[in-house]
Amino acid sequence: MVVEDKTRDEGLVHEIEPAVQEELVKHPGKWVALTRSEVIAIRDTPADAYAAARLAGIESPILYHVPDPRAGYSYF
Amino acid sequence: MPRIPGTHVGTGPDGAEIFRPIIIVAIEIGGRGIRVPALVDSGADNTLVPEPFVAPLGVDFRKLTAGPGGLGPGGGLETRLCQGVIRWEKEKIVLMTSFMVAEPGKGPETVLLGRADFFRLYVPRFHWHKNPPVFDLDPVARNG
Repeated sequence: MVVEDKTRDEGLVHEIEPAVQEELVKHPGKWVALTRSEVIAIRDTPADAYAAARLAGIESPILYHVPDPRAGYSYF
Repeated sequence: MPRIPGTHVGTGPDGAEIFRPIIIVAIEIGGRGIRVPALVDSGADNTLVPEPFVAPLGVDFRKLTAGPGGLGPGGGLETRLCQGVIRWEKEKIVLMTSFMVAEPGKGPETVLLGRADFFRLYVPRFHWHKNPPVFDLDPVARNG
């Protein structure tokens, strides 16, 4: 008999808020600067995204490269 | 240890939603820091950091010490050793004080947390049969 551990399903901890994830997936291939709860800047390069976030007053943005699942296979 | 939902990264060519086991880490070098996503990757020997994540911190890939190189589905890859801290902010823990950096223009899109370092600190359990998928990262000390 397989017994599944369900004891920790309550109190899930999101690393990135679900609403932000859904915004990110709209921009495959782009570099995005964000916080856990807000998208700050969407750019073509990591340097541009990072700089835009700093200009917006975010001292320590999360730098995220949106995967492009349409490629069908991801290296990582 | 909390259970972490997989991060939704898009829809695959077959129409299936794709989730990945991602945590947010901080990379700190020389008093500067950046926060980036990191994929818990049982297929990676060592933790590997994309060059665009350390360039804003003043790291010049060409000046790093040559590493062992790497080989994956994407082909050959030059890697170099970088001194710096990777910290899992939510758990307030330093994961490592050095790591490999992938050559510019190649390698992963995000940090790969590998077996030789990260997996010695945490025991990952992937529950990709759930909808949405979730994963646990249990500290090794708790598991013995």
